[in-house]
Amino acid sequence: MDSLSIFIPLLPLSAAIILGIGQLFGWLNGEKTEPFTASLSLTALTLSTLLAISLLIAEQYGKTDGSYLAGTWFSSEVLTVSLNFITTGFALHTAVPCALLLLVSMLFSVTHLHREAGYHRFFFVFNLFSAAILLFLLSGNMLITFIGWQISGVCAYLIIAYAYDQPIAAFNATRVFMTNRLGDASFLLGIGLSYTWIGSINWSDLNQSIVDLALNEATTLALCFATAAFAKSAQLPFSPWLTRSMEGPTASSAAFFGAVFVHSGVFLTIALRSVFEQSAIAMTVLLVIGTLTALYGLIVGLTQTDIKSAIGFAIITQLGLIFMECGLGFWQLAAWHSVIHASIRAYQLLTAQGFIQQTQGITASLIPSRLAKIRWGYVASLQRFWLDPITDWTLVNPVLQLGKDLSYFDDHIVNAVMGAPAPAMNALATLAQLEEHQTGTPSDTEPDVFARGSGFAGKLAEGTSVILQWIEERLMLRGIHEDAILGGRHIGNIANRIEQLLLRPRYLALFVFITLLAVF
Amino acid sequence: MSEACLITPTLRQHIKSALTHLDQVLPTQAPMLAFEHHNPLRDYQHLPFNHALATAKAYMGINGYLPEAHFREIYQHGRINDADIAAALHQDPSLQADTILLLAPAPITHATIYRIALLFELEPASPTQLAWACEELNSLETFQPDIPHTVRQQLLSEHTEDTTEKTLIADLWQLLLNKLDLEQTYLHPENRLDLSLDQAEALLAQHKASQRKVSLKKATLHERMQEAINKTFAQELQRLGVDYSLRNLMMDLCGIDILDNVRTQMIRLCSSALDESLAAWQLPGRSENGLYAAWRAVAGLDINPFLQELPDWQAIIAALPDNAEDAIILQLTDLEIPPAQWDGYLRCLAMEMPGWSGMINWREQHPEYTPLNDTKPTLADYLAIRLTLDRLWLNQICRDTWQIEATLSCLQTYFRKNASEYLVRIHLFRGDLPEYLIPQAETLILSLGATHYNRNDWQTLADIIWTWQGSSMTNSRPVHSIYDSAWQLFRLSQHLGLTAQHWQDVSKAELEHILTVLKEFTPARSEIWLLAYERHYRDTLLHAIHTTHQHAQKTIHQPRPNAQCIFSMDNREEGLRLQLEAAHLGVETFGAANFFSDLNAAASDNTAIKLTRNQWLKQTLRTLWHHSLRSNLLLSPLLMLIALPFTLTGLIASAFFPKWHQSVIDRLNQPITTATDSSPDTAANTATPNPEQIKQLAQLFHTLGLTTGFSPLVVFIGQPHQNNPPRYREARNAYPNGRQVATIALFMNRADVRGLLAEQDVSIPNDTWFMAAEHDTDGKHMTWYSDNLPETHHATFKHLQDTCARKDQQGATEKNASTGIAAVIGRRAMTQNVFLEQSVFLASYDAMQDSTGEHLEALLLCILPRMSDINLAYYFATVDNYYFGSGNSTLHNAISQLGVMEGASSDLRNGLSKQMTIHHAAMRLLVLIEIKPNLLTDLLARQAALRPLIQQAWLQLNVQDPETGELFVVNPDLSFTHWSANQNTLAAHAPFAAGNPESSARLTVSVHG
Repeated sequence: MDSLSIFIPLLPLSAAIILGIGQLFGWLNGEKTEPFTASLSLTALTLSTLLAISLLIAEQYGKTDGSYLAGTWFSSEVLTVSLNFITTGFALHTAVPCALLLLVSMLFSVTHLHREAGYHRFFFVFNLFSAAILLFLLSGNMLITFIGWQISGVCAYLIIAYAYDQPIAAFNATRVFMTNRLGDASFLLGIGLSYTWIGSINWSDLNQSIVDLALNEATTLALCFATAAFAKSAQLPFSPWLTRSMEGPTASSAAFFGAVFVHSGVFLTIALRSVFEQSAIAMTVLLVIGTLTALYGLIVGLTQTDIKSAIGFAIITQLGLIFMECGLGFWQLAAWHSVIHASIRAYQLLTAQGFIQQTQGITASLIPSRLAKIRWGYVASLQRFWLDPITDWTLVNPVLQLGKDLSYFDDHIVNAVMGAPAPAMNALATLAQLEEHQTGTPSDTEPDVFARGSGFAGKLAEGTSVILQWIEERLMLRGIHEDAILGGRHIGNIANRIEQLLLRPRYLALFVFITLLAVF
Repeated sequence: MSEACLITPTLRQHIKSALTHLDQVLPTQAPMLAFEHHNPLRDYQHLPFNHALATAKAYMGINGYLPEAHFREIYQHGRINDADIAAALHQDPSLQADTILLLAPAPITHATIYRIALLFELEPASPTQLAWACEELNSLETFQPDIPHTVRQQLLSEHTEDTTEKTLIADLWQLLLNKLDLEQTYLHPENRLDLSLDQAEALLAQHKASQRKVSLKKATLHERMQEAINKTFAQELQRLGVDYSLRNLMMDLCGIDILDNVRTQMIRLCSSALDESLAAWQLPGRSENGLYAAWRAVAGLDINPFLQELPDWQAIIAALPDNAEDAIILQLTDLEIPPAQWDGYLRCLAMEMPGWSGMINWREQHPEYTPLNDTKPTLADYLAIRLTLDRLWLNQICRDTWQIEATLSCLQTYFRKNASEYLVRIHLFRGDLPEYLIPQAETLILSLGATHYNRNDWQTLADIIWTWQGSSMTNSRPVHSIYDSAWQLFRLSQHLGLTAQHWQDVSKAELEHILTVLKEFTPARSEIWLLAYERHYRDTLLHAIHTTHQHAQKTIHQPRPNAQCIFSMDNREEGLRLQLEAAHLGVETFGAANFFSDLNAAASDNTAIKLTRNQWLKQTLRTLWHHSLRSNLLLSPLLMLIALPFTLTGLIASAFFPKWHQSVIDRLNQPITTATDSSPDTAANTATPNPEQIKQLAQLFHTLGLTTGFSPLVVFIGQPHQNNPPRYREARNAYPNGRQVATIALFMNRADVRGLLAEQDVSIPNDTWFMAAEHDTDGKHMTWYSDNLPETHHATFKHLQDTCARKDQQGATEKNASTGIAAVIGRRAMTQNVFLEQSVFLASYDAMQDSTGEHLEALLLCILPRMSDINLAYYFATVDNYYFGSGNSTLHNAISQLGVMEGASSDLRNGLSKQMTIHHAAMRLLVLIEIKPNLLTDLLARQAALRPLIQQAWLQLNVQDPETGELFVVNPDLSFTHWSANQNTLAAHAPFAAGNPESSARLTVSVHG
């Protein structure tokens, strides 16, 4: 019975592979093949949903072992990564509603995307995403879970950039992707630490041996996974990505960002309940971040004027509440809350298309006018507490600058030292050189004039300055060798530049990082 | 800065008038609930159609015709043929289609050349394209790939056996080069710097010689370069306010689009100020102070400029004057835009986000629109904010890149001094550079802030780019080059079936003349395509109607029909009408043009809106679902728990039973404030009939030609409102729903009403019973309002019900894909035997019972402008969906009740979506009226309101004489041209070319019967 679990992610994955190959070779293209794509996807997902349901029933009657080992991926003396699945408890209980929600959204998409240019691409991504999420939920070890987690992130990127001909959509997709990568880094660190301290990357081992760990180790582990969960579930400070993600077709927004994708952080947290319970600090962090996010989502949600952003902030708020519940130790409540929430938001987003017709004649109740007059509060809410510009200011811009500096370093220093070939240019590269050659005089016609004057007075002044400069050059500078002047100037420039660079905060931060790395 | 600028009343007036003029270029963007189909170029409707499109192109930069590639596809599908093209070419005398261009070797007329230019791409090639064609496609040795098979055969057959395709083509190319005194000197982009010494010297000499000024002839190359660059820069600045703004300049110089930042700010602010229902917290002070003042009050509190490190932002915000016009003047002055260019500059800015500008303008122009939001935004407010934000971000770019302020003079000074940098930048960011020069340019730009300014590096790169440009170095381009003249003639001659042999005796002047003809034809091409397209459809339709005329009955209502069904004139009802008629039940069908909107309006006005308990509950539930569930922190978890079962049901229903789900949703969400919820019975049963209502009903029956001969059962058939999103307001009037027509039926069954109608010559027999039904054209199902139906009528009713319940054989039309491209106004007999593919409005009108034309006059006044508006709305949304449409509807995101945007932060888009226009055949409305031509002439002479549509050719009018069946085309000068089947349709009925069967099936008109 347990062996069925491997097919749950495998079926949509196979569908995705078939669709991918079909598109690659141009077999799946245009309207005629739409029914094939749709029926293949629906069959695969329906079957895996049914499998999940039957597994759930079997579990209720005690017919499952709770896990299934499908094989070993790779092993060495110290590390074995097996392909194992969890077929019981929270993992299975969330897999069923998730699969159902995905199925409903997929059914909805079949008509919703009819005649779309990206129809087949959409279903490819949708299948891949379903496979990734189910893999993430059911996998018994961290590495496979992480693979599911990663692929679902990539799918989110692809679906946000569904209308990739629109620069805004493409930009938002990249930004969402990058934000999620921060969480991934932390997840990866968690896996590494778990291996170092516990010696295993199986979830069950982690949950069992966590009691033996020292408090600081347990806390560090918990915080690593918490950060990953915060990023995925749009908690502070990562929240802004969720509203940026509402670029794809409505059905995908419902499936990804209303229902499944955005809740996967919560699912991870609840699945690691025993880890968090070891550390009061981690629990406090969950509580604090959850509370702050709920307030943030609530206040920002008040000024939203478009339905997808409004629902986006409502989602952020509720996810904040769920993390709060986790932080307070109400794990069961949080689990129910997240599943119910996922269904409600999926439905709200699916029906958001007709929002204008549906809300004719009804309005949101305005906040009390006493509060509404607080202008700074309004601005903060409208500008979403400036989280995006703050991130740019503290993180994005310094990193970009660092990149530019490195590129400069490459071009001017590394290439010079390594003797990288200069772009191949003929001896006679430009007409200017030819002219120079013909006339025998350097044709530098942008003379070192300090000023360009017009009119008589201007020309007079210009002429005077040229004469004075000539005198200066002839009489004063001839004394020293010209190269010396140039060389000196050059050295001065370099010194200036180094000083400038070292004073930038980004380098200070870099040094701090390097020091930290060296210490550990 | 600000002190220097003097704000005078004259300047303010200047700004005000400039903003008033914007009304003509901005799209009409009404909020969704006030949306009506309209001609988007309403302000140009006084001009002839083609002039209006040319003007719109000049002012708004929009293309008013389908892309040429699309027309060619239509040609491939056989929906335009050569005869149509020939006829369209002859329609415009200035084209001189029959003039003979070339006698020998074979007579070639203008029309021949035009046809080839229409069907095949004859545009000049770019150097890269030519290189590709020569090397990858081997074009100089093989036939062009698009040469039709017959022409190839002809080319090959005329020659002796030892000529092959290769020699034939190579000779042709060589001959053309010789004739035009050209040499084959095309170079690869990579090799364009590999000049031989001779080539380089020639180029240099050529360049020197091309200078007009004597001083420049002697100057060095660098001096000439400098001069040329400065001149280009000055020209670019001249374009400011024509089709260029400082934003564009920055994109060209730095590749940064300030709108990326400004757009988000503008969207957030404007939608917060104009929000109608969604946000609980809207811009404080928006009602009392207006948009600009309210923004000014909060602008200083925003720390966004600080975080984005915008220079001087505090000073700029603090200096904002009280008045929006003053702010515009201040910012324009500070940016140093020359006052003469202000009007244009404001237009450019407004056009950068046409959706929002249009919405603000609409709200300003319609003060009577009183939504739940009472802000009175003005364009001045909007542009003042836009200009201020622009300036903040422009300053940032200028400071970060060049350490200067964002003013024209600063930029001018800087680039006069650093002309090479300008050259490098403009080429890099416009994407003109070859791949191998890009990294060099990027490295230079990257190092700009980092090192001291290295003038020589810039100069060297500028030299390279200058040399690379090669042929374009000279200011005056050569008359002929291999890329344009030679290539064009090369392709043309192959399509004409002419080889080198044929061209032997043709002089260079004659070749040049051909090129001139070709060039002059370019701007007219799209229009010719449209004319040909329209003509093909017209001939097909008229031919079908002409051939079926013989069958048309002269008198109707004899013998007395069993039932009469009165539909709305919607094109989507055609299928059901055919089905009913074909069932041989003795059913007559009518298309009513105007379903007594006023009668309904009167009924709803009289009903005071008082919520019953039921409605109150509905209202509360909707508020809880749409708003509380979203924004109430404490209540929402509880609500979610309660809503869960319903949500799950809804989710499953939406997936498995989408139609049923949609209808439940629609029923739940019906707005409570309209007449639909008030019971039809009360108003219609008790109210005293007022004379206006009686007059309207009489008018309806007179127009339909139904004054006598009523059948025992008459059915009014409405449409559910959800069939017609988003045209809510007009749909409610033009296409009433079941309840609304039920009200009318109830009214008609009253003895007192019938008595009053009899006084108006509408005699309804006592055994006639009126009932109502609702036809869902999307779901294809009927709802019958059969309460109180007398026993005697049950049999007929049962038959009707059964016939309608049968599955529609005509096939489903696309949801909402209304393709109203034609309208037939006349008796049903005209079209009864013609299958019109559900693309024609069918309005019933009986000319035989309207000897003076007065009923037609009323009818046309009511429907002609409206149909034309619907048609043109679809037309423009199809040809330019970016500007007139709302893009892809799967990405739509509603902004409160205002409209939609694509995704999370696009401009406001309110037109028809791409999905709605995907099958629309973009052509002007074709109207066919059954009436005596002389009556129509009189009618048009009386009605000045109708004439412009015809005279300026915004629609095409045709007439059929009800007695003789003769057909006439009404010309723009209101004269009539006789249309004869033989002359016009032989060609039109040539078998359709093979192609996508589905798309070629569209728009076909076939005769059945």
